[in-house]
Amino acid sequence: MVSAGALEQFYALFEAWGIPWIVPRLAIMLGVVSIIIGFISVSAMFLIWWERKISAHIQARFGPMRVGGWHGWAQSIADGLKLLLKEDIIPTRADRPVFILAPIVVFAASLATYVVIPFGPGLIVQDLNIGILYIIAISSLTVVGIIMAGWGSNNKYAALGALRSAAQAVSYEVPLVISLLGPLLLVGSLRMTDIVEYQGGTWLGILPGWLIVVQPLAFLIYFTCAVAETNRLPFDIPEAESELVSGFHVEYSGMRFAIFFLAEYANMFVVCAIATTVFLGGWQGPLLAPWVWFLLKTYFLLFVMIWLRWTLARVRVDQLMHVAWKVLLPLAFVNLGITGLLVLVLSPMG
Amino acid sequence: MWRYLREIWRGFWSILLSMQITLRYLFTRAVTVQYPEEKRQLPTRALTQHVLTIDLESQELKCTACDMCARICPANCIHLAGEGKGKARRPKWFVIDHNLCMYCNLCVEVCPFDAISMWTGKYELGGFSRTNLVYDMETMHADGFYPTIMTPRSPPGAAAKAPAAPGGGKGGGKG
Repeated sequence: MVSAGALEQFYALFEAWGIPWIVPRLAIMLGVVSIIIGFISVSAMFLIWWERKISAHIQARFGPMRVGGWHGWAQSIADGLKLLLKEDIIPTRADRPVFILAPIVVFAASLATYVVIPFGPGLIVQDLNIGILYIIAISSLTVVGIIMAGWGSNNKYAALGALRSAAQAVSYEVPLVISLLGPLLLVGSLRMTDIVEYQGGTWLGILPGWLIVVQPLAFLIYFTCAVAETNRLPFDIPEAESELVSGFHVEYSGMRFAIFFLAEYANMFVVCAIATTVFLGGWQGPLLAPWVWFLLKTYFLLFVMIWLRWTLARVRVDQLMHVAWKVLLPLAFVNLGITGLLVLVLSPMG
Repeated sequence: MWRYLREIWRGFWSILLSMQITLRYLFTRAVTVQYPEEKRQLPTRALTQHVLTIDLESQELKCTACDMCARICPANCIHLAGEGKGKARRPKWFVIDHNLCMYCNLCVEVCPFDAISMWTGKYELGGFSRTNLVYDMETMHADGFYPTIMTPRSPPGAAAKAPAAPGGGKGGGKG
């Protein structure tokens, strides 16, 4: 990324030419947004192909093998092109503006969270001092988009899926936030780069300085909630194919459906990127470049998510609520309490 | 309280165990056969397209146009006519309509001369029109050795070279 000094020079150049100050800033913003959208699309297409491959091999199949030659690597590109060319259907009885706006809201919410993901030292769009808080706040906007989609479709399955999604997201956000508080107590900052830099050293000289070493319970709680937040198996009751057809996006087709799909995989990347930043030491690692380490750790977590999906069956609604309120929330509070106590007792020494 | 924690632990442990199983399957070989590129080895006695077997020495059809197969066929898909008298009798034309054939193997079982076989392994019988699936005598004329119920599985010459696997032939002796 360019340093602040270079940016100032870039702005000064335009000012010298007499062009209003908003033009270079807009240009920079557009550039950054296009880079992020490009990254999201490529990473989502790779993830879709990867998920199909992993699921196939877990079931002793091959998965996509035809398109593009080597193990069907171009399958997602072909699917994306197909979705672009398909007819855009809006049901007659649907709430048109809400129906059209819903995929945009869902995608914008997941796009906005990429602003504070630290891919490497300096490789962060805006290092907000409330980074984690910002991500938690913005990512809950996804639910609004899902409810809009469910309501706007004017379809009972879509509405049911959206309601389930809202119930699930509201329940799982509570343990998610509380599990993140433990590591944040240790770091003492919400800034993403501060969190990563805190994990630079080692614990007791042997273990890496990652927060997962001292906060394993928080990591497990966070990861479970992250899977639930992204509506993936075993917590995919909002889309449950067998009972709700496919939940809130039943009525969507063509590119609008593709945007929902893209947002889902973008969200998966975001939750895994946060887990990497907070628990797995972010870009810290020997030999390889920082951004390689970051992507390696994130894609490993994504692999675990895919692996989990093809291992477990869907839970019932009551089981879902049971896990959130009776298991994850008490454990998260216990973890937070113990961490707080230890930080209080040990702080004069450190 | 104790029971609560134990159940959480057991749930967590069972997830880990099932993930271990799926990980093991992730690295096993896929059972899929990529059909046009690779083909499955059919069992010897798989019932596929008909062939009119030949006498390997004289290269002539064994069929004597006795009409037994046409008469036993439940689908009525075999039609033939013969010419010549006595031992010289041979089919003039011989047609099997594979649109109708139900692969029951009765024509093979009833044939007194082992002149027809369905153990050919030719199963790709697609056609662009129905007449593509009506096979005449030239199409079904055998190009080599094909096993039938009464003959050995491989040509008589090859059987002598490759001895049968131990315990394979119950009848014993030389085949």
